Amino acid sequence: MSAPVLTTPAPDAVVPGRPTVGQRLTSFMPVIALVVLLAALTVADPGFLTLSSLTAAVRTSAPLVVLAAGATLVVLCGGIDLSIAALCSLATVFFALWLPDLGGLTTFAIIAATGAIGALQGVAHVLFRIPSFIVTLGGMSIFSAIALVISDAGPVRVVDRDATNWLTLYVGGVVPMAFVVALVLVAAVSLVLRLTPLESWIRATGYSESAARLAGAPVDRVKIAAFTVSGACAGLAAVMLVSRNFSGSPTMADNLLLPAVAAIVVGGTAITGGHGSLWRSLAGALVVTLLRVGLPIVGVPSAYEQILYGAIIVAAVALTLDRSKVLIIK
Amino acid sequence: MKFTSRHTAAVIGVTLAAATLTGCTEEAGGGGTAAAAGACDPADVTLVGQVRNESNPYEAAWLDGGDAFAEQVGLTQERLTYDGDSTRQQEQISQLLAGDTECLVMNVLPNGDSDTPPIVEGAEEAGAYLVTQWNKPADLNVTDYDSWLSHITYDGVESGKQIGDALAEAVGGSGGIIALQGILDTGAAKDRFAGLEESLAANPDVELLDDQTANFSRAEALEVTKTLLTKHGDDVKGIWAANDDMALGALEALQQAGRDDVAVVGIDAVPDALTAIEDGTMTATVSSDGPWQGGIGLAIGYCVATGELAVEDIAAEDRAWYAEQFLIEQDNVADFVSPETDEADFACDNLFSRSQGAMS
Repeated sequence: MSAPVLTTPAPDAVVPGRPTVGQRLTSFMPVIALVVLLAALTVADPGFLTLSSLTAAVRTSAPLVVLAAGATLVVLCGGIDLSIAALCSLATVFFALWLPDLGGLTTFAIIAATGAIGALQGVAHVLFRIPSFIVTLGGMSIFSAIALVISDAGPVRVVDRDATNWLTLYVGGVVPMAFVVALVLVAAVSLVLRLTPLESWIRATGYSESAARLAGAPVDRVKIAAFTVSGACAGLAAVMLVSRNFSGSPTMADNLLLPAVAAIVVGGTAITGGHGSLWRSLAGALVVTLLRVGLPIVGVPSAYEQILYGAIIVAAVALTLDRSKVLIIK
Repeated sequence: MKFTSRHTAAVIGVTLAAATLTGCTEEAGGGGTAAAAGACDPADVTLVGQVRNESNPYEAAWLDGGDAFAEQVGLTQERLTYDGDSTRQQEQISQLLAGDTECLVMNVLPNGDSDTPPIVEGAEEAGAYLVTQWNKPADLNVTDYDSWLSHITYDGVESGKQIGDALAEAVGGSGGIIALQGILDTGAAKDRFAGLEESLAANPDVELLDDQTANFSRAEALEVTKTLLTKHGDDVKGIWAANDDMALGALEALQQAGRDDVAVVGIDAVPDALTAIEDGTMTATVSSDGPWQGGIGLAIGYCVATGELAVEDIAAEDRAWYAEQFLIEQDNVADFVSPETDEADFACDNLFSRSQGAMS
């Protein structure tokens, strides 16, 4: 049972007036959480706050940012995509296997293929009216199994690195190219959403699907598009992982599923849909990455690491979620 | 979080401008430490040991060995674990290498063969001293790198033969045995079985009745052994298992069948197997000496970092080598139940004393 939390669905949520100080603060909470975490890590180990250390952290975060950004679209529509990590693992195997034949085109082929697979899941969700949770849960098992079969259950090495070398460069000697790509992706998708009716359609679908349908929003097509982008993002993240690890493996990204979901939620996007943005997920992904790599590096023993990780995630969500925009907490 | 399109456009603009104006480089700024070998003050050396999991007794003992070495030289070891997750291992390593790497010494257990190249290249670029153990692709040569000091592994043929010989002795030099193989497409399983075949050639009266794979798994070994015991009955005098988990599964099958006249051998020296050897229910196992592994990798790096040993002076056959492994039977099991490191093993002029030769 979910108890409706009756807050005033404030008129200013409908009429976009001047936001109050509190609202402004909440909207910047993901960034504040990021800064606080960085400060805490620096206190724990003053050597952590260096340029090269931050560079490494954002480089590490790039695949997670991309995965989370794609899945955010599905979450905004009120669904969930649990298949992103397994699809990403499968894509790393595809990449390693296709590279010798396709060369420089492999990256595009991978993104197209994973986009198509994502679209397929979207169609299954919309056409057969199966909950997205179930469709993508099934997808997760299927993709993992396919990856295991086609890779002979082991990693496939990538010897020719020309196709992925560009991702390992540093823009201006500081910013890792993979992170720049992730930023451009987030910016581009956000821009497209904002400049087209897509954003209103997605929000409407997320807040109330039936109302959106009555209002004439193309709900089904919007959902399929969201799954397509989510799949394509999994493919892009796979290329980033391969560029880093010089191999594809059927389990390479599997452990990124929960961090990606955590990134979305820590960013303050409502898991129930409607409220949130890709920028929030970017900040969330950075928080999660800092936790993943920062805690062991500053010397937190591995037994306590998981406890801290869990506690900080819950605390961060408590801070970042704008409750005035979310009426029902499930 | 209201981002107007103006903000969005600004971010894109700045990003693109940065990309076009400043161009791209191969390395992150502030790099290029290329530590002048041997320039480190012993107190400035950072020691890092990284294994999969502290809940695995062997790997926990490995890190304890690293702690013991660190204490010996008045330092502490940073203990890292990555839960058997290759991606996490790479993330930890790249974060570590982004810190102060000038006097950084890493003793790493790569998750799999394919995880070794990125670790090695990262360390080489950052100028951190690296020793790897167990896993590396055969075509990756340690001598092609300056920072990758050494790779240590164990000769599976040798360990397979050692326990094969111990088994032959336990069954009195003649009789039927069965073999439980590991995951067939791993080098460890193939090498260990080849060792058994060598042992059989040297003990012509021992007959291999059957060999089946149980995939290094205790549960599968239980089932396979039950089947083979039914098939061959009292002809089975001994069971050769490619690791201790399978040996323990076989022991359980023997217990269920009420047989206590069958000798069982395994490899790895896991605590349960050592207990079984103490009790006399198991005959032998082989230990790679985890605590020594945890210490020796740090010791090699420490000696090079402090200048007591130059990379060029490490013989080519000591850059990738097989380390000595120990056959454990009832008479010496007490020495291995709570293994300890020996300071003399980590002296800079004694680092490679356990070498059984270069990796072939």
